[in-house]
Amino acid sequence: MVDESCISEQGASCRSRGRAVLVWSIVAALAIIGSSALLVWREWSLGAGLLIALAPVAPFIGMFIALRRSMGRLDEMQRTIQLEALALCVALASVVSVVVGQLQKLEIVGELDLSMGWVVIAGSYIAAYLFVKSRYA
Amino acid sequence: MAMSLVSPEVRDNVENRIRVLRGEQGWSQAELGKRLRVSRQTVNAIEKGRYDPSLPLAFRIARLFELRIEEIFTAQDESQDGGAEASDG
Repeated sequence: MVDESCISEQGASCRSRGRAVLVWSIVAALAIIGSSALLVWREWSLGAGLLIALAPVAPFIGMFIALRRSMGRLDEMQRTIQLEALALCVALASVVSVVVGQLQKLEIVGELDLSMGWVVIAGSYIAAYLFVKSRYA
Repeated sequence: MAMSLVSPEVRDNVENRIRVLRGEQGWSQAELGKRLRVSRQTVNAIEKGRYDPSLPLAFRIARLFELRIEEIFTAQDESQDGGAEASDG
């Protein structure tokens, strides 16, 4: 996906920026999972607990910086695709959150961890991106 | 703007001769993309009429092929009318 969207003359640089986004995303996901597991696993002091709870923020900042650099290398059509995917993602994530909220009121769905909201957003974004991209292919 | 979220009824279809012009030059889509500073994917979408380029990009394309924009891009209703409106100006 990253290779295809790279402008030819900037190919190598663009690909490395795309890889950086991917790597930071994986690290951020692992940090959230690890942090959640550690917080459930045992009681921590307030300081240690805060440190573990907020640890995922660092890789997320890295991911945002890599994403911003990567976006700067996209051409106008790729930016249009990203923008439309973002718009669809917001709509999709909103629908999912409303549906889950309503189902919780009926107690069909139990309490959900709010920090896992990124899974819904990431999933919605990937689905929206693939859909929008396919319409330009 | 191109397809996607905009319904086909709303869109103004624009045809172009980029594939032909590129063929005459013997360039690949990637090579044309490099000259226009866009991706191969974008060249492909423009050629297929799935994406209408911005005005700056349309000017870059016209400059590259040493043609006027209206010699490369034609609105579909214009082409059906025999290009009457285009030739007025």
